[in-house]
Amino acid sequence: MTMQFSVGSIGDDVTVVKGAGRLNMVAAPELRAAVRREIDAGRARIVVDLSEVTFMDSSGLGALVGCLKTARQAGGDLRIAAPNEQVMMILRLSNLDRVFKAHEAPETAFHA
Amino acid sequence: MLEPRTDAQEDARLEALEAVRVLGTPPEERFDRITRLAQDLLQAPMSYLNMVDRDSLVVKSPQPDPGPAPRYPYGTAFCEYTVHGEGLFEVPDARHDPRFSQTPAVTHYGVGSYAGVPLRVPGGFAVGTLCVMHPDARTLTAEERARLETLGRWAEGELREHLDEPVAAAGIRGEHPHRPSLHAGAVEATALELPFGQVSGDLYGWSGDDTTVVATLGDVMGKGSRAGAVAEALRTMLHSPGEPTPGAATEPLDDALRRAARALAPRLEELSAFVTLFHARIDARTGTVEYADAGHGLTLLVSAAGDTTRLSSHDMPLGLHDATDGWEVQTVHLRPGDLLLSVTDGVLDAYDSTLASLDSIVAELRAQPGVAAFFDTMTARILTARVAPSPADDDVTVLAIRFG
Repeated sequence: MTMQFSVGSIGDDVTVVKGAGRLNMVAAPELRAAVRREIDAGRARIVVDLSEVTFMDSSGLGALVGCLKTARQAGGDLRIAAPNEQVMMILRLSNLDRVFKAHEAPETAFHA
Repeated sequence: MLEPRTDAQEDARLEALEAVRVLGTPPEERFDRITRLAQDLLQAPMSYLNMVDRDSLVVKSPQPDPGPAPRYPYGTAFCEYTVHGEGLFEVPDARHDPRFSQTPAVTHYGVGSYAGVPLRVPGGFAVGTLCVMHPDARTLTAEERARLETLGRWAEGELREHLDEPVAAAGIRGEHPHRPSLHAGAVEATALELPFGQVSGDLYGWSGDDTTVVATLGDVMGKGSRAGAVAEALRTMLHSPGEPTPGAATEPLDDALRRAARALAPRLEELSAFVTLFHARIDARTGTVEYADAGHGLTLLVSAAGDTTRLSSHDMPLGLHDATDGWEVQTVHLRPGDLLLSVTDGVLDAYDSTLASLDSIVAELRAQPGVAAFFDTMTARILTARVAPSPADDDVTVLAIRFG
């Protein structure tokens, strides 16, 4: 039942981390670990592709915030792409939509 | 075979049955969904929700064939035992049970096993039953029994919907499980806490006196013992139980939040955690509410007049918001009968996980005679969501503040 994250890249310096299913208390540590691996490998410009995430709870939101901090500490940034309406609701409730602007697709997240 | 009872206790029970007003009424989806769920969760081909009157059993919601309520005369049904018993009543092998082997349920309908729970209304009277039946002889697992009891509590909440006032207690059972509450001036605060694991990352707190009540609901993002420790620290900071005079009641709201945010900052930083928080100060005489919302967004003003307002803000959670910027303090006014309802986001998962869940919650609240009955319905719903095929796994906390 664990969420699998796949990693891809756009151009030379943007890494896309993509998961599918429910980003909850079970999947949140895996997202943190997946992003941490990329940053440790020197890739700190990250897009989290949420197009196939069907549901996110506060644990998932916590993981996104943690990943953002890690990315910024490493001199990079973290952006999100293609969240569904439920994910947007969680972002809006916490007013974190001000921190995480939703980009339509991973390709435009850093090159809008 | 049980004989109909004719004593005063039975008269009082029948009065309670009359009060819930579900006899002689059409089938209702609010009961049918419970019996459908009982079928699914207990792998039972048959599930009935019955009302038991003086001399017959009235089937309110039959599955698998929902429809107008049939009536069965007394002396033939498992549920008579359930309704006059204390708790869950189970018949694992009806064909070999002398009490039931010759009843129509067994000889005509082929029932091999039965399990049912009594449905009680305030006062402790059992007015009905929720049951499942299976063609085979079988015994429920402990988990299945717990599910049936949970569904029974949900059904009890639905039955209370039409109660104008609680039926006078007859001393049979306590009216409701104990829930923490605070009465101060015209304010009554009550909390419902349903942690998912051993330690909750949710927190609520209140303090004050007859003139001012300060109340808080929060959710520490991050689970387990470390989130629980942050939650406890925050509750203590905002409601300083050790102080002889309640400092929280006199301290400006934004000062209190800034103080708490600064003190917690190192721990939140270390854990990469943050806290969404609703923090309010209520004038217990006038109903004026000052509040700050740190990215919580799940607080509603449910007015007695019938409208509902969500109290939101543009401020972010503790741990992400720059404490020196402070939190905006907004003001609303409660009129007598109005209610502030604040929930943590785990509640939404028991509905459709969207903001429309809040509308459903308010509809359920308004359908109930009071906060206690609403909390019973909510409890059953949350517990049911936790045993569903795709189970809800978040802490749930609800804070209700009634004025007047």
